[in-house]
Amino acid sequence: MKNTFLSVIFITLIITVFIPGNTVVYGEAEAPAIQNKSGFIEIEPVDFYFHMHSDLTRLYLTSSVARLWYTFQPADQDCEDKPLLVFFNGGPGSATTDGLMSFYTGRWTLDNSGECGGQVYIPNPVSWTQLGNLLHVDARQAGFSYCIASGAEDTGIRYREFGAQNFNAYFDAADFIRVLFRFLRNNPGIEKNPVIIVGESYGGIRSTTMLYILLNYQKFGNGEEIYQDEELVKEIQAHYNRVFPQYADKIVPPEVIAGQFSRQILIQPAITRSYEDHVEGEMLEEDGSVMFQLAEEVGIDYIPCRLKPGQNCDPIDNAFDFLYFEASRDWYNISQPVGWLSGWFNNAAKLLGYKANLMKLTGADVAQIPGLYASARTDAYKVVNPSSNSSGSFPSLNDFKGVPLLQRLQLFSYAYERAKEKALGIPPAAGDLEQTFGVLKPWDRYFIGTNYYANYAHFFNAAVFKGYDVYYGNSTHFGTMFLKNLAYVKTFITHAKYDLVVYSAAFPSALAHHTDILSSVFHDTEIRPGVERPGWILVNYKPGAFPDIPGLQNRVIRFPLYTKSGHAVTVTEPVEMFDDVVEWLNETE
Amino acid sequence: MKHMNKNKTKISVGVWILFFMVVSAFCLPAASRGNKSKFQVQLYGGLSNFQPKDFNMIAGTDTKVQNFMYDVYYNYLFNNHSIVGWSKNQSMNYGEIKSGVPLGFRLKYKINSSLSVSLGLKYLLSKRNSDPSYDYERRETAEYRYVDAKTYDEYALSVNAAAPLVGLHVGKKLEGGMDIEGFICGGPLFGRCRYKSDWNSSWTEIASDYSIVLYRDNGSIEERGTGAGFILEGGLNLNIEMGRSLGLFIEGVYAFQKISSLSGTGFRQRGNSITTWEGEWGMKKEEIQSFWVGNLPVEYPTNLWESGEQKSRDFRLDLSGLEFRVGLMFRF
Repeated sequence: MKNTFLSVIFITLIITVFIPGNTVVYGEAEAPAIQNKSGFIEIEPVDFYFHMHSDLTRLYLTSSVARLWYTFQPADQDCEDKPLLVFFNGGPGSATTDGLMSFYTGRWTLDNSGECGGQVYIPNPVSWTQLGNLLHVDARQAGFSYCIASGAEDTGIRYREFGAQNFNAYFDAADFIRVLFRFLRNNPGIEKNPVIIVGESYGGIRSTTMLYILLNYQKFGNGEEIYQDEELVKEIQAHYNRVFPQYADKIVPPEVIAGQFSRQILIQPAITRSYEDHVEGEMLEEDGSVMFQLAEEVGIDYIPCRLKPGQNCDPIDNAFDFLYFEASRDWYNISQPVGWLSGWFNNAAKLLGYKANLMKLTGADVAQIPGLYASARTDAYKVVNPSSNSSGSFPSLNDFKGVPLLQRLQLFSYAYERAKEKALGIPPAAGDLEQTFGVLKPWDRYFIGTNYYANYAHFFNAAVFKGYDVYYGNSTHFGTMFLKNLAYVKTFITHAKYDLVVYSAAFPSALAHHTDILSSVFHDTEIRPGVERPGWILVNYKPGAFPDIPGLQNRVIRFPLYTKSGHAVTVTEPVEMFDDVVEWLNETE
Repeated sequence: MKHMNKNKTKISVGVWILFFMVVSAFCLPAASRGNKSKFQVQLYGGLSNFQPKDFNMIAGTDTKVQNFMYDVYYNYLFNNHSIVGWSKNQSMNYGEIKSGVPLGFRLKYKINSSLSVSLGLKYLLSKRNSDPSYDYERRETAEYRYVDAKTYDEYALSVNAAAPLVGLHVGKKLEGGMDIEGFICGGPLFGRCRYKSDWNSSWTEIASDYSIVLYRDNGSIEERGTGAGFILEGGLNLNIEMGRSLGLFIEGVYAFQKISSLSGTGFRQRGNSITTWEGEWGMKKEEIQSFWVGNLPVEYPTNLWESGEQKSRDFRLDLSGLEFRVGLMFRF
């Protein structure tokens, strides 16, 4: 039971990050010039298909209408000359607005450890608006984003909406590209500016997939890649026609595209997940590992799987069992008690239930956004089952027998969160959005921090079920895409000491498992003059690793170590990370 | 409605053949009939064992793909302990064409007692309608089962061809009112082929106290082709007289009949995507790439070519085979 519970929570909560935004705006707050903006960008139904490199294996899918929430904050100075930083959290299915946006990236921030106890948004001393223009985006069905489907009042229809047509790593990345390009189209003053992607946790998969699509876009319309989305390719080409007019209606080479998309900043990212898990499991089992160190600290014996012969023991589940049930530590930050990080996010989510907080955080007059009003979302939906467990007691999966598995997991997770809040003395959610925008349908929500239906749908859907290689947790293709992107995209990855959900210490060795591409990977931890937090990964490619990139030999990833941080580095070491990013952006090579 | 139209076409051909027979037998002067008659009209029908190998690779490939995507994949999952079990129900397989019906008529002119020449018309047809259906049940845990089902409203392969023929016949009179002859015929061959598939699929989650359809899909594809080739056939014929001007005959023939350079229209509906096209038929070679057991090479005929795809080789509609025929003969 504990393992099942941990697996569910582990998978559903794994990643929290942020996303970028766009344009055919449904209800953008009026904004004549480059200034704060919030609103929805509507994504029309998209026809796409997966295949296994044969016409006979095509799985055709059509997505639903989605209104994706974004917030734009221009740079403090010279915004038309500054890059656009596109932020997103992870999950998948987790919001950005109560994640990266609420913690030390935008102009305002929360800080639970501060004087006000995180109850008000305060000015952010290290606002990334010093570096550029900021675009924070909530993923489909997360945060303020929502979907629309005719017949949404039908439970069966809502259930089927959480499927491969709306939730998979490729279409998710395509969502963000669409949002980004439409936003840029509506803001021509910065349309040609450099774009820097900033993703957290699952955001590493999203950033990897976005950049790979952007750099190799024609492969997503000519049958070469597993995901085929003809309309997306047209939209990318139209953007490139404007940004690179010398290549109008021609295939733009990746080295030219990198002129706009040349950097990514990844906060505790998932990238090549299957190898990361494998290496993490091995590392946690080793004598003297972080698990043994923690065991010594709390004075409880840690028994690794290798000392549990005859048991079906998974090293990571084993570690998480120990963390949660014995050491009572947060697996997102093992230096903190259970539930520590989700407490920060849940607190932000609660504050965002108030219009004044939302207006303060975004800097926009949200009352002017039509898409927020109940009258504009009569066919909107965000959950399958509108009911929730409010008893406040810790649930068991058996409490939800008789409902489909997905609903069962969602209800379990929701009930668990509520029970945890009750145990911690946190009052139930409140807010005043209904007073301004109206009462939503029972299956709709103004805000969801992590949408468990969406999260679950990413790894349990028709495409995954039928054996298409689209689940990031199993596929090695995402690692391959990352390594190919690396040829063109300068990359900064955080290395947080206390994060066990994305165990970044395993990352260099996980990359080295791509033996078909790399000859070696070296984790350089040498102290260098003037560098406060050392850490680099030197990646050496095999000759001809990517035949279309002749001469590719090596690349360096900046990989600074954050000794006080867990998963959400901007929460615990915001100044340190900001300084490192500034330094990295100023590097000429 | 479409089936009725097609049947009407077949019936029309039969009616025309019958018409020729009647005209030939009854409109010529009665005085010319008898053993000294120079003309014969022969009408026949029969059975051919032709199996168009290239064309049948549509069904063969569909069978292979189903096996790969389900049986092989589920075995992989089972062997890796990802599922606790699976089972399969199937009615009908993807049907291949394994026989056909030749129909024809022949007007023979007797040059001397042993040598004749002929003009004729031959029609070949075959349709295999199989409408398979299957469902695979996959047990993820002891409690949850998933059923992936597919049913075909139509799964049909059909061919038909027509040929005007000229022939040379060498015969010998036997006792008992019988004669035997050997013959060869040849001529151009004009043919058509058609592949049609209409299907629905669903993916259902089943537990002890509920079931819910998680995913539905449907699709349709139709590809047509017409082209020309040639026919050369040779055989033995045994005639049995049944009166002064009427006889029965049986014959065994090997017909070499091939059509190449077919082209035609196509239609595909998948989800919201509808595609129509016109293209030349050819063989397409692909490798289905899976992460579970590697690649599955497949080759099948089609007239749909996308994104610079090229045929691996020419497609031939090969209707060659042995034919057994029986018929009526009228002298005049």
